[in-house]
Amino acid sequence: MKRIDVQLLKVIKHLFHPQRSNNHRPKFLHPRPLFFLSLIALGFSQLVWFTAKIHPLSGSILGYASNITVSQVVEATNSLRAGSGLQALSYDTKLAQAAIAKAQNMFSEGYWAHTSPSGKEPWDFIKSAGYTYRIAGENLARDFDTTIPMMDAWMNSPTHRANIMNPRYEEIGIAVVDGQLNGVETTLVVQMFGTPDTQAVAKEPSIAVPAIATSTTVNGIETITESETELAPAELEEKVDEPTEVLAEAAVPQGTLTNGILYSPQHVLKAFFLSIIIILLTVLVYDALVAGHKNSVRFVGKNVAHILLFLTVLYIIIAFKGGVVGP
Amino acid sequence: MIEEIKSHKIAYAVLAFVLIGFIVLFMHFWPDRAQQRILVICLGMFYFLWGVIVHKNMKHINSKVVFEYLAIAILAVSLLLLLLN
Repeated sequence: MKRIDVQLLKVIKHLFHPQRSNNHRPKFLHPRPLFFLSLIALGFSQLVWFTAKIHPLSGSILGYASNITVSQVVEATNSLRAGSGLQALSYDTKLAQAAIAKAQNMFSEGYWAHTSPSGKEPWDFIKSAGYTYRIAGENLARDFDTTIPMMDAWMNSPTHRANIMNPRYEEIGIAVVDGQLNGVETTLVVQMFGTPDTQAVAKEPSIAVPAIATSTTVNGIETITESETELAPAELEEKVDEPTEVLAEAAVPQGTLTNGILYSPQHVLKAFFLSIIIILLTVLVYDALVAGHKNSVRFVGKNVAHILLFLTVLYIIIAFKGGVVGP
Repeated sequence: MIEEIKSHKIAYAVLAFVLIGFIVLFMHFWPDRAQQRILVICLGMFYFLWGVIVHKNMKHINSKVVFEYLAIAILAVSLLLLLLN
C-alpha cells in the first residue's frame, strides 16, 4: 500500500512539479500532453452531444432547460420599443398560434430556417392561423437559457432588430416550444409580428385574403400589397372559431422543464473546459514560482504569456452567452 | 513573473493589447458564430506566431518551444471552437 502511495506521488510530481525527471518543466506542460488534452476536450464534447442525442427526454440529465416565457418576451419587446418611442405591440392569439405551428413544424421536419424544406414560409403559418395582415415578420432563436440574452442577441443582429423596432407592426405572437431538433434537445422561440389588414376587418362578415399578392421579402420581413377576394361565410366562420387560446397555453410545456432535465450540453462542456483551464493555470503559476525560486535556466515557452492567454479563454467561457438567432 | 514582464515590456504590451481586443471583438460579434470562429482561429495563429517571434528575438528557440506554443494555441482554439459548436 505504501509502495503504491510512493509511486502515485512520483507520478504526480513528474506531472506537476518541475524536476530532473521532466527536464525541469512539469510533464503536464510538455507539448504532447497538451495535444492530448485537446483531444480529450474534443472527445468529451462529442460524447456530451452524442449522449444528448441518444438519451430520451424523460429522466435525462442532458437536455435543454429554458426559463424563457411568452410574457417575458412580449414585455421585453415592448420595453425596447418604448425606449425608441414606438407603440407597444398587443398580443394576438392568432399570431401566437402561427408561431406555435411554425415551431412545431421546425421540430417535425427537422430544420432551422424561415422557409421549411417543403417550401412553407412564415406567411403560410400566419394565414393558416386566420390572421389577415398588411405586413408581417418573423424572428427565430434557439438554445437560450433566459429572455434577456436572447433579446440582446436579436438586437445585435440588424435584421432581427429591424423587425423588433419596426414602427409598422401593431401585434405580436410568441411561441416558446421545447423539443428535439435533429435529435438534440432545444428550446425554439418564434416571434411573429403583424399588422392586421383593417380594410378586411371593416368588410365583415367577409374577410380579405391576399389572392393576387405582390410580396417583397427582405431578411424575414415580408410586406404584401394585394388585391382582395371575398371568402364564403362558411369559411369565415371556421376561421373565427379557431381555438387559439388552448394552443397558446401549450406553447410553454411546463412539465418538460422540470422533468429531470438539469443541465444543457453546453453547461456540461463549460464546466469541463473551465476545470481544464483552472488546472492548467494552477500548474503554470506553480511552475513559474518554482522556476523563479530555483533561478533555473530553461528553454521553454513563457508561462506569463500562457497564463494571459488562458485567462482570456477563461473569461470568454464564463461570459459566453449561448443561443442562436436567425438564420 | 513581474521581472519577466518588465524585461519584455513591448512583447507583453502587444500580447495584452491583442487579447483585450479579442475579448471586445468576440463580444461585439455575438451572436454571429461564424465571425466568432474566424476570430478564435486568428487568435490561435497570432499566439503561435507571437511566441515564435519573441523566442527567436531572444535566440531562445528550439523545436520544443515551437511545439509548446503550437500545442497551447491549439488547446485554446479547440476549447473555444468546441464551445461555439
